[in-house]
Amino acid sequence: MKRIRNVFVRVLPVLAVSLAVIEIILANQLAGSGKAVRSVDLTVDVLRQENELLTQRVASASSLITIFSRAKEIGFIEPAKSQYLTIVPEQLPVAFNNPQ
Amino acid sequence: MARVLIGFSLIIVAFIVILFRLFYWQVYAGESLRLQASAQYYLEFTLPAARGDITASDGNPLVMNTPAYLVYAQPKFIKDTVQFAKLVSGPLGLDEKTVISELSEEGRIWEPLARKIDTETVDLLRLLKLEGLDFEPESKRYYPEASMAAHALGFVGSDQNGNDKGYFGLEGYYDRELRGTDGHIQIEKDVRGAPIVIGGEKRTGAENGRSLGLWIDRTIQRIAEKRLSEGIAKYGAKEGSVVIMDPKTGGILAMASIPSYDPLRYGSYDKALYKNPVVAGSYEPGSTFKVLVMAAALNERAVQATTVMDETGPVQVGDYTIKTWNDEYHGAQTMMDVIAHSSNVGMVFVGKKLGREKFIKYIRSFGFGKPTDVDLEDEISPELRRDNEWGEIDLATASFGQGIAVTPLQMTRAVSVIANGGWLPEPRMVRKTIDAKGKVIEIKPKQGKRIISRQAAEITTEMMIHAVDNGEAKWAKPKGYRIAGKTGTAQIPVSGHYDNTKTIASFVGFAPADDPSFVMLVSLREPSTSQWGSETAAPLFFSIARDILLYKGIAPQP
Repeated sequence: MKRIRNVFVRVLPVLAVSLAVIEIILANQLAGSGKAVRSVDLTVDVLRQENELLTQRVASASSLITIFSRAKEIGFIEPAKSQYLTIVPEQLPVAFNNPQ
Repeated sequence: MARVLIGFSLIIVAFIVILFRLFYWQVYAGESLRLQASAQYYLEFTLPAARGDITASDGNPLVMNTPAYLVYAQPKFIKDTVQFAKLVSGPLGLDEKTVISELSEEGRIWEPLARKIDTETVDLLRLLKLEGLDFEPESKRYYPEASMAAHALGFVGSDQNGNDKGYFGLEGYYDRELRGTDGHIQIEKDVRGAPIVIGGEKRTGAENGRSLGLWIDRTIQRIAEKRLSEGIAKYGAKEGSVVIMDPKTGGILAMASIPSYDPLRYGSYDKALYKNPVVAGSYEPGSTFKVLVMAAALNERAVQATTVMDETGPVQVGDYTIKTWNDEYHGAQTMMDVIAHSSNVGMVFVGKKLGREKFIKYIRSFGFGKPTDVDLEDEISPELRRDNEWGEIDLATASFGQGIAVTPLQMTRAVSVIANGGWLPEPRMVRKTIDAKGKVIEIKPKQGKRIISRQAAEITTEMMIHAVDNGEAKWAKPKGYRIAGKTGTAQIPVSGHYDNTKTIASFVGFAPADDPSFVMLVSLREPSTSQWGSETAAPLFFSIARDILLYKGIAPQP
């Protein structure tokens, strides 16, 4: 019993000192990593802004103004007269009648 | 003894001085000293909340955010103020002399030069590598569809403290929801200003604003704006408005008014243009009002579609003589004919049959005299006379829509009652809201109270279809569709009298009449090619209706 107590008395201070040193080293490393954190924050901001800009470009490209202007450029015109094709069951087009 | 007193007095004086000094440090300068100390130990940032987007019914944005910058100068780092001002004033669109004078003022350590500057301009300024010039990210509104639906959307300006604030339209009405709540972060910093990871940190996250999903269909909105612009030019009108609503839900599908403004450059437009004429403007509805009086009379069984009145000439009401619009009289007329010929004399007959109390009751039931409570800023409601102020002549003129003022939205909602089978809808712009986490809250349409029976609504609808098919604008009607509608031409009151040369021409109707997908009101102020609604507003209504029916894929009946 006395022997076990002697071992504890010798080992515990060594353990305590070791843990204290490890804590100091880790704290030092963490304290020094603030610069890296700041750099990551800046990258996040840049990426967020880039994302906003790209979202804006997508919205701009899919706006009606752009679509109508692009359609006009490639020769589409607005329908002057609408025509409707009415399909009645007795007169199905060939494609509907023949599934093959 | 004297020395003791002197010594004691000096101690008292010293004590008082120390007391004053402590008071100065602790109370008077306490807050600023605390901030100075805090600045030495902490990095503090405001985390700005992103303003919510506003999207059309198909999910495409009508308003969104785009990155921008606050450009500012720190005069103490500027070596040559004149050269600095010369280089920055051009890209920022500032006056060079003003910049020099602002930068030269004594004691200035931070000078904001311009706000909401786009990224391209900032990239250009960064290339100059000017000392004392810096940039703070912020965001600004971007409109992918340019000035589409400007009156309905409103714009974002600044409040007294320079913070973003929504004005007019949806931006004004939903400012609190769109704005969100800014966050705040406080982190311990090291000697180089970098954050200490294991240090203390206080963080309150920003809560981004809610986005709004609208009922507005951007294709229908575009059709309305394009056709209205063409119509105003063709008929030489001063102004014009179109409002299109789903009568079954009350959802506003399109809302257009001309002249309008660009919300991105709102500052360069006349402030009078900011208000939305559809909710903030009033007019006398003229003959379009007749269908409401007729619907009320049919509902009360005061008249039937086949009831005959004798239209032999003008009718005398007190000291006033009321004529038909063209001074033509058709003898025996059914109620169907009264609406088809838009007979003022016939409507005086209907008004009398309905009776004063019921007439007033129905005007109020159709929603006149109070706001529609649409979710838009600046809605007005022209006041109605008090019940005891309605004289015989007021009743007579109101039966054909003169002497009573309404807003275009009130009129559209009232006609929706006929279109949807008899109940009063609640007009809504916003269909759903979406919070920052993507949670969607649908705003369900409210079904208002029943105003007229389904049968009365159907008979009035048939009268309106008859009026369209036999009216003067029948040539413009899209072939193969049943469209219910009514023209209106009302003189504009000027200094207490009606000016015969100035009219508001309008047309209200819905299509397809048997299962309406929209109710639309078109109004033109002071058209110059013709003063009549049948020759101006009606053809414009039909051109818009044709485009909408085609867009919605509603085929004509063979």
